[in-house]
Amino acid sequence: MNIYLWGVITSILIYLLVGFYAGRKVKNVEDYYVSGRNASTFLITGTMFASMLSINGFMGDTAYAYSGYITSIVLINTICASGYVIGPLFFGRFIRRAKVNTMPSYFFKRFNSIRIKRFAGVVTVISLSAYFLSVIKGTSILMQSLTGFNETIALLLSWGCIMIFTLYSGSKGVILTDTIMCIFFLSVTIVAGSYVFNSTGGVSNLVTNLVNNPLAPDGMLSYKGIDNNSLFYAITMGIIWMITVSVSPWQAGRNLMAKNEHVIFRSGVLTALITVLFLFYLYLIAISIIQINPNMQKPEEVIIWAAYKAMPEIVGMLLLTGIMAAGLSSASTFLSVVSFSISSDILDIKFKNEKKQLNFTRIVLFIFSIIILIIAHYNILSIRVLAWFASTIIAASWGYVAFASVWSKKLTERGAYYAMISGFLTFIIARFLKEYFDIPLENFLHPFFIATFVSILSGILGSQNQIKTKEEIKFQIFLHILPKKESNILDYKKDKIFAWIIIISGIIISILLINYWAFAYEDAINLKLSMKS
Amino acid sequence: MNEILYSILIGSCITLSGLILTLNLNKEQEKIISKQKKF
Repeated sequence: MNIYLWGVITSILIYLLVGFYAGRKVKNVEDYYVSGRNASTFLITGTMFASMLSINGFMGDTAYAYSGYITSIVLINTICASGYVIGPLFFGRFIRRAKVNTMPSYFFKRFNSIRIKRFAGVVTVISLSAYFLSVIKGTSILMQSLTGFNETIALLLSWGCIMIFTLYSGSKGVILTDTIMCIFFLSVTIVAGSYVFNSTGGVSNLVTNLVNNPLAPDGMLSYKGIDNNSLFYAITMGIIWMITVSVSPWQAGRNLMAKNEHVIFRSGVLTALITVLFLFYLYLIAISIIQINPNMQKPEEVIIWAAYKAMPEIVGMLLLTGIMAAGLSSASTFLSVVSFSISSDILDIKFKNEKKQLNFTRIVLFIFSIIILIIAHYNILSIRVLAWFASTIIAASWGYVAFASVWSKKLTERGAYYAMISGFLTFIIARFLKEYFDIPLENFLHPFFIATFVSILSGILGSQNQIKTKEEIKFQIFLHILPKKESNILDYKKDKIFAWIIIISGIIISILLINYWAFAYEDAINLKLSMKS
Repeated sequence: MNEILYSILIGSCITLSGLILTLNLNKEQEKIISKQKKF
């Protein structure tokens, strides 16, 4: 048995043990769906970041940085990260106040509408199933290369690991394993990075080395990278992801588990900081590899290549197991969120007691995971089509409705329903036109923005000549009443410490970038030009 | 020069979100204190 197989098996056993430990504490539906609504800042931060960063972050985004777009991807992440801070203020805290178990149930309560709940449930299922499918496939491919198992066994192992602990422990287990996985992949990546920097000439010389490296993509360290349109692209993609993390069930939905609203604010700040700092560190590792292996045929494997070639075997094994953990953690979140939505929002069966509801949810989760396993095994859906539905389509469909449900005095049930449906359909149509007819829908004409615009318009028109029901008005007023438990001044003082941490972090990040990137880049370019002349 | 502006843009996204959070927390805190004073 090789060292990588040992690593995979040990880590899976740990996750299963943690899942069983957490599962024993599940006593009712609330424990299973929203972890008893008593998760700490630490756990919410862990699950939020672990759910966000999947294998795609380690492979797709690092490939983008390696190929010459590091400045764009850093800006995208930074704008996206601010969604973790602003989102809770204008939406995340209110869904917790509604005391619901899923986000579609929030819309049901807010608009007193079963059709909105069902549609929001369907959107959740379609979008996160696509995401789940792509993550489980990515995880099994990585597991295959690590263990030497064939495709079927690797897929079964990934599926089995995720399914068992999610089935037994629900959200209680998912947030605990997510946090452990998060700590694991954060720490091993930091250690692994130091080996990569040492073997590539040091991080302090990185700018000079890359500017003088004729094999590095030309101009990759300039503010616009290797593409003149990258700045505009980064800003628009950043805004899309900022809205996505603010309103999506696999991100904002984690707030339903928070102990109180202060936990939501604090974990938002911490997740934003980790997003900016950790991912920046990861991209530095990726571009450092250019020094020892430029022009990789498959840039998405840059971190995997580094794990095998640029560090001791044990560190490489831990890094690869960490990347696998990132995939497993996202997959377990998607599996739980989708299964809860199917059983609670779409099927919506009334049960005699909580035990029956709990068992039913577990059966739904099992059946759903089997369906995904079959689709993944037989490659029934192509990755290209999956990408249409994954992630941002949810925000395109209900991003406007989410914020308006809290703040608009005019949006009615009909307006919200039309807004959701039109946002969803417009996104798909625009993606179709872009992919198959090469219509240049980029930047502010990105399908997301077109869909959001149509969604807002439909919401406004749909609300015309209709007045809100008493139930809707009553619930919206209730949303704006600060619960007594939350109004402790000491808690606000602590929240403000977190807010100041992020304010000061932004200033420090700018100073460091100016000093170690902007000035260093200018010096290196001047030196290069003077040597040429 | 552009790289300097880009560095400021990156840092200010984070700082701005923190400022929005601080301002809102301040506002809420003041509301709570004034309510407590009334009673």
